[in-house]
Amino acid sequence: MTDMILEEQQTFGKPTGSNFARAMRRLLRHRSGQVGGGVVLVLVFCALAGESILPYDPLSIDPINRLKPPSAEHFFGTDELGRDLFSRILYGSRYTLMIGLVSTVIAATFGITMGLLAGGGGKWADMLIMRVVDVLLAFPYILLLLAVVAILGPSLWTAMIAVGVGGMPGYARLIRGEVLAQKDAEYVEAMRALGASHLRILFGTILPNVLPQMVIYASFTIPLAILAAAALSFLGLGAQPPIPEWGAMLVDARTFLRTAWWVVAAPGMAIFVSILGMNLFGNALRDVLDPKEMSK
Amino acid sequence: MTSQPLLSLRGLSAYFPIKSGLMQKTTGWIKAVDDITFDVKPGETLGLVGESGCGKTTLSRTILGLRAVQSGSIRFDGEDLTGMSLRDLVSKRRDMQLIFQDPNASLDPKRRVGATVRAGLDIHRIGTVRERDERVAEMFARVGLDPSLRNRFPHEFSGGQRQRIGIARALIMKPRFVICDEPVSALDVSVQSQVLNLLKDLQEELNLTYLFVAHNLAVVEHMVDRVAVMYLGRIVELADRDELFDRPQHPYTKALIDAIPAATPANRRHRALLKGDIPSPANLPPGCPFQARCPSVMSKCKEKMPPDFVTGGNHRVACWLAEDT
Repeated sequence: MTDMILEEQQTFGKPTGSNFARAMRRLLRHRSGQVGGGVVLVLVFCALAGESILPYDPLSIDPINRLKPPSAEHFFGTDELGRDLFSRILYGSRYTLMIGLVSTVIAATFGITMGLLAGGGGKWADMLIMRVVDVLLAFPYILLLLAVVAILGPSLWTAMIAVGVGGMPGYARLIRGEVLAQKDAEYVEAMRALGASHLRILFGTILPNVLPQMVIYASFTIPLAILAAAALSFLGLGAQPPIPEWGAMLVDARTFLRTAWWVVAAPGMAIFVSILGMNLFGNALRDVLDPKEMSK
Repeated sequence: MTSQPLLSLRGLSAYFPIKSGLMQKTTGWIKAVDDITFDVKPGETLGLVGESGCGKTTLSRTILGLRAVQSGSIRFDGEDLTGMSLRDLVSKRRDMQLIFQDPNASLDPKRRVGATVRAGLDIHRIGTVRERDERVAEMFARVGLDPSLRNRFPHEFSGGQRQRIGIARALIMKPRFVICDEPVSALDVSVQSQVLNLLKDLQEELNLTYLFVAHNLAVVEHMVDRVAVMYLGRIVELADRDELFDRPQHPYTKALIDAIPAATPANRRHRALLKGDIPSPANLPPGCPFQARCPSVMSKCKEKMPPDFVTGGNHRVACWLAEDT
């Protein structure tokens, strides 16, 4: 046994997979990574599989079967127009995922760029950018989203843009702090000593080193973005009927809360479970990507 | 020794402002590097010694243009680097490279070591990508690393190996002048000698000139041709190695040499150890910066800064004790 260990240390074989592969292996062993990852996988599967897995057409109206409680025929029951809720929920997952991803990509791209420039671009750039960020943060979140939607007009896309704008300042702040912390690190100074330009150092050296933090942050903001977009849809400013977006479904359903609980429960539970899953997954991701854990 | 110096510093100073109050007004200066003058001849190794916080690192960074110069001049190969535009400075910097103290901190943890070594070539767009990779492999072999390890990350290497990577990163630019900023003080003793010998071999092979910053005098004795002793931002003594170790003149140098541990008790010298701490560089008293700790302090020392006295050829010392000799 000891011979084998010695041998392993002495030879310079291939390393045991990349950092990424190692992180993935530990993610699979992580309890909340398993649960959260499972939920996320189901969501992604539903979103990608499309209509082929739906038992009914999510948009077709069937007034005879309206407001039917859950049964073997309709797993989640039917809504006030007789549409199968199970199919609508499954179909709606693609909107949920799209909102989460698109708005986070918008927030991250602009937020990271702003943060990098603020942290590394000198005193005036820092002042200017951070004051913009402060202004964005000073608005109550929902009010900010409403303002953006009011400017661009209500639709699914403007909801995503609005949520993206709302998420920008968080990224900008976080990355600015990280840049300030890394700016005087010796490996950054080494690049400077070699003659690297400002932009090369910012985007080539500092960005890769703060990206893991961004991935973790994103895993927590995606569910928040989904909730915010659902809220916008609930206010009638996001996805428009008949799109089976979960937030929009809640609005239509709320009038039947007393007589047909399942119409509300289906989209409500869908939002709840997917947000919970994503949060669990984000937690696991944070544990797994922690640099201190990396070398294990 | 009539050849033109490769690097020559004249009255070089680098200060850090002390800011305080609401408006961040500059209320004072920390004289990290103060009025430094010396030459480095091509092919030699000049040792720069001094205790922590005396300005060794700031001096090395200032020479490379990484810190602002307060006054004085830096001439490299006959050209004045102070006041040079950033663009010219960057191209000039190809000839001057830096080997860092701590190889754990100076290598980008997210970058494969091959790419780290290649960075200089990438920045200055030297050769095609293929040629760069070939040179990286060559350089790896030269510093004693297996070129097949290029695609690993820094955390997969030992301290000594990481320092070899740091050396490869600096030397791949084919510099003429290399500043070694305490290149072995972060390494295990067993690895130190390996790295030092590697640096010596490379100096011969590549005809390098070193400015060797260190606080370990045993290491300095092994490596350098001449030694400059630094105290609180100033050079207090500068001499050929043997001259300095055999006949130190400045009381600070004497104390430093006395502090070298002897291998056997029989060889133990009479020790004149220093008392007290270094005074704050923010508010120095007038006169010699060493007055507070000097065993042979005179009233003169508290009034006037001692100038550089040149005694016997290459020996330069900034101390009033040397005035008469």
